[in-house]
Amino acid sequence: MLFQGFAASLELQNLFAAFVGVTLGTIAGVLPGIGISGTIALLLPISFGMDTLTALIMFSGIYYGAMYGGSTTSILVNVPGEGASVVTCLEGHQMAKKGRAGAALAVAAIGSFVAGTLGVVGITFFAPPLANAALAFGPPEYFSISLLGLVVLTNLSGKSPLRAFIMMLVGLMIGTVGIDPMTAINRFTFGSTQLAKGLDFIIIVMGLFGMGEVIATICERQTDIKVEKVKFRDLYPTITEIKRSIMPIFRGGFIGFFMGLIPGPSATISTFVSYALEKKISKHPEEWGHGAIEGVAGPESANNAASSSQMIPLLSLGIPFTSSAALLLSGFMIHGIQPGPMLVSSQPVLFWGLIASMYVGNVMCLILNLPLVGVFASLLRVPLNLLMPVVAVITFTGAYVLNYSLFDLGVLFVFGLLGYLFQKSGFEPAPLAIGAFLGPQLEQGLMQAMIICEGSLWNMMTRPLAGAMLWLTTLLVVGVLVKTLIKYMNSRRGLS
Amino acid sequence: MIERYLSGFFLLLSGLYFYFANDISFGELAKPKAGFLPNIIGFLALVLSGVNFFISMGKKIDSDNEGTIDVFAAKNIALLSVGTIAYIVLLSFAGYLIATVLYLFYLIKVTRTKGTIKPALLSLSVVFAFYFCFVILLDVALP
Repeated sequence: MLFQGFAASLELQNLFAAFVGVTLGTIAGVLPGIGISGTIALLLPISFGMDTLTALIMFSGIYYGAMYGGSTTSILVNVPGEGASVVTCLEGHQMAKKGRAGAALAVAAIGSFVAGTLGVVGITFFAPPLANAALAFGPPEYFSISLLGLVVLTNLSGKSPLRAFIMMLVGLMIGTVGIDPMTAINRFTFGSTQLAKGLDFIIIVMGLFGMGEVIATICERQTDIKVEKVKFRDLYPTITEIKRSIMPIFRGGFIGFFMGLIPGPSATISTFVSYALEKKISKHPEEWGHGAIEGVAGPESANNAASSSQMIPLLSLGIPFTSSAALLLSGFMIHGIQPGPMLVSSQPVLFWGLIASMYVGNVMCLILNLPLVGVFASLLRVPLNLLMPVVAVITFTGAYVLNYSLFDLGVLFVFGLLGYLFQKSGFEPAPLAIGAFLGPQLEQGLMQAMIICEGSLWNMMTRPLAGAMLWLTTLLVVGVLVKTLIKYMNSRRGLS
Repeated sequence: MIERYLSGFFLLLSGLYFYFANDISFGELAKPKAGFLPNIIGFLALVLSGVNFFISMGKKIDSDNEGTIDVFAAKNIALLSVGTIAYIVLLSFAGYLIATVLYLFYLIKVTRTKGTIKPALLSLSVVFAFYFCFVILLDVALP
């Protein structure tokens, strides 16, 4: 049946639909503020009137194109188009500054393709049992995985754990601004209707990373700005870089695939987990923070694999766990497809055609974007005194398009100033970003978990999944404290 | 120096946050309310930022390695801030096309780019390209 699905997917009109979907998805993904969900929502009407399988193939092209597009701006100009692209900024943009933008883009494309393909293979063979496992997650599990994610990711910024925790707590504080979803009480809004909506995570990261970089460049004297001359052979990765990327791609794909089964923002979390793992086991620790290729390969692969495995509960149970999956579900329903347990038996050609379309979309994304790596990387040849103002304008435009709010532009600029100040000091913005991102999910999970467990943390720690993650978190925190204490005592001994 | 100012800023921010969080009901462990997590976060942030502040104040000033903002950077930040505020205000009165063309031209001049014709042409072409992408291609509404 899979071969029949492939046979149908490889017809000329379907290949053309994949090409159109990937192209439009990439363009929209490159534009900050749109994101995958926004891209799918905007391009959904184009599929009206199309044949069902053709429409499905276009959707998957849009999906993969949008994901790749988000990483392009992260690498080139440090503007993350969505949450899952934030980590790519950390190493990808540093590589771009060293004239290795092409290598970063190429590795991101290849890693995304490999991991995405592995993810689709996983869907093909393991969809039903994995979908049932995903249903085992409840509020205590959401809370514990958010907490584990926060602690793991806070260890990303290696210089000062204390400052990293402070930044993470500031991020959590930002996440509490607005109307509390559980009790509908205004918190820290000071009577402002704009603040009552909360502070959008995408605006915060666009400000911290994107605008921060723009302000830093504009504030530097032009003689201090070095423009890397990019030769043609530098546009693509070297053999060494490819070799170093292979295992991170597979590890990232594995992490992303299983994390993608967890409801919620698992694609973003998987990118940070992959980054933390690669940093921990890297044979080149001195490169981290300055453009380590593994820091691009792993997270981008994790992102794509997670995005593929998020399809498993959607296809097997008809339950979307993310907003982009919900939009895909609406697209399926418009074309008369009802995802769920009966889809495989009632419409096998359509089901396998859909699986095949994901392979096709993934391949088309690679075929389209790999040759364009040189074009994208060449953008950095534009003098920074012209490029950065353009980046500023595109960032403001993307920020406005998110919520159609001028208030968001002010927030963007304020966080841009903060991002610039963080660059000049020893405070890393990544923990703040992850705190702001995971904060709402952490709080909702905690509140519901405390009610379910009747206020007893011990009840939570004895649950199999939640307990395992909470114990692991406790060990990590104790480990960091002990390391810090030992370091402090050694420094005191050194002084005396 | 920036490090110290930021440490002080975080201490102040944490203190204010904890102060306002106290006004929100904490609830009980089995029935947490809206102030449950804010109070916990506020307390932790206050303690940690306090420790960090005292550590940073106790360090000797190392002017070679510590970040500072010189007069050139401060002037550019001021120009950028004024321009951005004007842009946000102008967006609601003049619309996206006019406001953004002017803002982009302003930013290009802030970066000390010489000439007038080329920056003006660049501003017009870039903004019209964005307008085409967002409004025509993607059917997104801009001011």
